Amino acid sequence: MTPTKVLPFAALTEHTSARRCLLVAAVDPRLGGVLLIGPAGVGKSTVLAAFVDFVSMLDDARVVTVPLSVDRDRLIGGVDLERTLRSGRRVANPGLLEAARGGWLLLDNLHLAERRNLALVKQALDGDAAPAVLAAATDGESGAELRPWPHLADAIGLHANCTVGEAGSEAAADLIRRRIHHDADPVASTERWEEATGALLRSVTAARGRLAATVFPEAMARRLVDAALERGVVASRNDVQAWRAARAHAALSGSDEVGAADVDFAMEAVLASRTAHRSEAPSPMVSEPESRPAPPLSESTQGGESTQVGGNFAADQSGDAPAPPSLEAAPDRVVAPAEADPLPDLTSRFARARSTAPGGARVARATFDRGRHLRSRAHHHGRRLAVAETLRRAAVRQSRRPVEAGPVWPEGLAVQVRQDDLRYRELRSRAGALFVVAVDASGSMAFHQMHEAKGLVLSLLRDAYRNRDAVALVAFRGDRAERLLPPTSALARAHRELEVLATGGGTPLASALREVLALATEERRRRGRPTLALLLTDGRANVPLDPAASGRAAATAELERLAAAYRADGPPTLVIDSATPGCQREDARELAKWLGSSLHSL
Amino acid sequence: MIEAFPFTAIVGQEDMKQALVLCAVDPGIGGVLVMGHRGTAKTTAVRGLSELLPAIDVVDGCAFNCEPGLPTPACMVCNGDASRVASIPVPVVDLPLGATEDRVAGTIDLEAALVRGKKSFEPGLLAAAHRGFLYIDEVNLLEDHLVDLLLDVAAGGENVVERESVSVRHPARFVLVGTGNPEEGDLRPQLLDRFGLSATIVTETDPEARMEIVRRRLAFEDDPAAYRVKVAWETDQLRARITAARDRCREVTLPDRLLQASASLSADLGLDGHRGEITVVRAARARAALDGRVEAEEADVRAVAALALRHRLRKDPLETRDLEHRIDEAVARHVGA
Repeated sequence: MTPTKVLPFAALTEHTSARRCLLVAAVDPRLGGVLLIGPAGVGKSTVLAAFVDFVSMLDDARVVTVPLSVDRDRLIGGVDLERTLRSGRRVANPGLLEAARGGWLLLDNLHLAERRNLALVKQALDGDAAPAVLAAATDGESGAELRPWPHLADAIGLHANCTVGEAGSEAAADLIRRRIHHDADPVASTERWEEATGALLRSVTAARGRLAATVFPEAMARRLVDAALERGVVASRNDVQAWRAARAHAALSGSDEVGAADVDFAMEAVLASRTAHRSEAPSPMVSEPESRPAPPLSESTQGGESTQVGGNFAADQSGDAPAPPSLEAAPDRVVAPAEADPLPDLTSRFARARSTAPGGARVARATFDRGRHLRSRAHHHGRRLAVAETLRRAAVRQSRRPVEAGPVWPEGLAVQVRQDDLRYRELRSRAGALFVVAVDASGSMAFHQMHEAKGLVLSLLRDAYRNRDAVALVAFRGDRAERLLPPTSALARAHRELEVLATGGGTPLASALREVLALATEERRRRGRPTLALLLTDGRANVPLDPAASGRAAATAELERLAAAYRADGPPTLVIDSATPGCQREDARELAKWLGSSLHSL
Repeated sequence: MIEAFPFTAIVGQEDMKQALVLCAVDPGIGGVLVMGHRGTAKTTAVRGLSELLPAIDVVDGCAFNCEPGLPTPACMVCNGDASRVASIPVPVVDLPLGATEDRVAGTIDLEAALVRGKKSFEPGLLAAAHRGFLYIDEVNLLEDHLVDLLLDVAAGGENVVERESVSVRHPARFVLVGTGNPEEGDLRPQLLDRFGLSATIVTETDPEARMEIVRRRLAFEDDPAAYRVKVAWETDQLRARITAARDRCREVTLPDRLLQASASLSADLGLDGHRGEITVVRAARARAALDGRVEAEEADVRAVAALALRHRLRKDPLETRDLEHRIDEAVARHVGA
């Protein structure tokens, strides 16, 4: 046996469930493969690399690696430029997806991949002789929406979570010893694990032979389907994956009939991650006054005075501030969220802020790497060469081109390409902006304020819908901020999330800032839409990020530090003071100052 | 060629199946939009469609699937030349999300340009889909510039390419079929309006039905050929019904009272323009034809009204009230219960 580059699969000790999923996927490739999910550095890539070695021993299966930097042509194939130029004939270049047919496709760092590429991969998985996928992804900070391309993740049958130290310190120590040994002497190490590897290979092969004849008792099938129904799994594709998983698991354990343990495996590996989105019942803290008739806007809200920091805001504060209205008095001021636009002025302000955002969100931009192919230009400035266009230009001029003039390309080419044939891509992108809306849902938001806040967010959403913008929603209460909605243009979903948004608990404002910052950073990395943030809070932070610290003073000090970082790196932001005009305190104003943003009142 | 799961073996999802079959009978209905969670047989149904359709005659050697004997001024190649005839299956063409404009609209033929220094046109997906179906999975995620292109072509029924020093036009009339998951984004209203019918996938909650879906799917995946034989009778039956209905469809009459009912139905629901009621009428006729009748009746209009109108209702995007209910009430008022 030739020594393997990495520690053999059979020698691995950690990530038991991930390894089991991989073996099951090898038994039935129609499961579509395995997606490993876990924090960075937990060892996902190590497991995958070892499995790639293992599976290529199994049946000479081809494993094709898709690097992050892959481009479209390489994925789905295209013109082989060099050979086309040499032969004067179009020479096609098969893509990676074609090469992986009937084999395996390795996609590490799935979370960083380009959506457009993943769409192409997904399409290959729908086809004939679809490859099975080996993928790893790091989950996002909030863990809410780790999959950049849910369709692709869904087509991968088995999902396994990789957690740190899941197998215990003994296993970890063993693994380190074995790795050190392997790196020092790959030949001896490979030999040492040869027998174990052979046994694993035999069990997978035997399981494959047993698969078709494996019996699926009615009771077990019913159990699986009931579990799917109970979890709100709606897709029949997931049902099929679960059956296949249970069947392959049974075959792998040497059984010819699916049993309870196999069904449990399928529930964990297939159904768990497909469980329907939570829709928590509102906490008792909120009494959603749905049935209450919504009175028209009162004078004070309609005015909706939005003031800049340092403007007449200070003057308002110095006046005789009325006492904050009691909760009992509040219903008079409830604004029905879906029916009124409480702050038309603010939406237009936001729209204006958008137009002055870096990159000019609404303005169609000429870019060079995404969007519609606007035209090809003669001047480049380091842009992408428009290969086809260049060749076309050169080709139609061939007949007028004297042979002795000589090409700019090396000799032996059938086509002479000259400098002035070269064309570069200019693409136009018309993507909208991303609005990140962070809503304070802490106990200090009296419910009438909450309703105005919801109304405001809804009117923003409506505006975003018209302008083809995307919206992300963050709510913060209790001990941390939560990403309710990843960037989306699906209005109905945003609406639903807002409807069930509960209030109560502390104000983890720092956590909210961090979440907004994370969203803006992800956006910058992924799609490059200009991002704007809207922070709806009274600014009274009282839950610090640091679990060791507590109390308002600590939270405020921490917030100030974090705000400085946010100011340097964060998106343009508006702070909206949710406190009733007239009883606003300094907190929101301070926050706006720290963030370098403008302040408005509800 | 992908082995498609037989259409007739799909369990449930009657709205979706009905809408697709009606469009197969009368392509003039203008297409189907199917919205639902991913993994719920939407793509399967579309792929299963092609074997239900009778083959069509095309002008041999014309890349645009032109109809022999039908003068087609829009085609620069054949103008419907009746002397060369070939028979092909009705094309069902996939438009992938990652497609470039070149690939969709067609572009200059690189090989001809390189080898012969000639400018010639390499047809795109729109040409391939002429007289057939153009299928877009995740249509709500389609990039704006491709949507613009589609709207342009769908409006005129021909594709005009004026770029990269080629100047080409060819006919491109197709049934647009789009599927998507509503949780992931909304369709632009202009595109929404282009779809004749719309269907929503319902979640199957009956455990027996769910188990049956899985059993059929696994049986098919284990041995596609054997499974197709097993359901061949159903497939043949449906194909025969569709083929007969296609021939009969133009002769089906719709009584004046139903024409009026369709118009007042659409007005009652506050629809702009006449596209909604025209679709109701066409779909009702197709349904009657499918049933072997020569006159459409109340039941036909009732059956197709929601399919044809639901996605056209001018709704507040934040409105969550039941559209189905609104349509049902209006149908009861104008067509009778």
